[in-house]
Amino acid sequence: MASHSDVPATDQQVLESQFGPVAYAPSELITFAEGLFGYEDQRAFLLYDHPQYRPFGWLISVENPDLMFPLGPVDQVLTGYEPKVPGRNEDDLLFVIVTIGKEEGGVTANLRAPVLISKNSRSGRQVILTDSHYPLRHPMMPQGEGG
Amino acid sequence: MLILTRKLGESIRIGDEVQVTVLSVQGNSVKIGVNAPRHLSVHRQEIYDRIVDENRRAALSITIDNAEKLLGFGGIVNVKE
Repeated sequence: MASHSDVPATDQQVLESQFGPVAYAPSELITFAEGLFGYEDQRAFLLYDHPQYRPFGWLISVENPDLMFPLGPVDQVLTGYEPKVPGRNEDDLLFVIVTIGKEEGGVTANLRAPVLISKNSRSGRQVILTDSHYPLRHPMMPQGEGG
Repeated sequence: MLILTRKLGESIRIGDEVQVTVLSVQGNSVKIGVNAPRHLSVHRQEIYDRIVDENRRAALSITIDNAEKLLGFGGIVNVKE
């Protein structure tokens, strides 16, 4: 994930996120060749590691930094979630997109359409699980908390 | 919209890589087979629409105030399919 400290000053770029300016190196960017569903025109993203919100990260569109998705790394936020993802490579990290509902306590994770990110090729894709009953909105907080 | 009439077992071809075949017809249900390369995702329209809606919700729900709800994350959540 990107953070201020591990970016060399030389080829540093800055995007204006909702959290304020975020510095990154172009080599850190992750390419989603097909975008995300509904956002097929956004291809380049930064996975921003904001220390305050760990283990959650933020997938920020470089083209339109107002657009960002909270991502939960599956190995740090879920247990018992082992979807069969066609074409998954060994180095693909698995994430779920988190929706922070406006109503109280409504933080859910989309287990139906996880995100894969390859560290080696710095590429990502979102997949829709076809043969599964994993829900679109799995509660991530006990009711009444987190609001 | 292009409209083609096909009989049972007949196909249509979309580009070089996609073949769509009518496999069976029963009442108002049509079973369709799709041969497509792996990089093309094929989904039921209503499932695709729900994923698009949820992505929109996820992206549009974020404000700095709202993001603070993530600070209440209590640790690993158990999932049972």
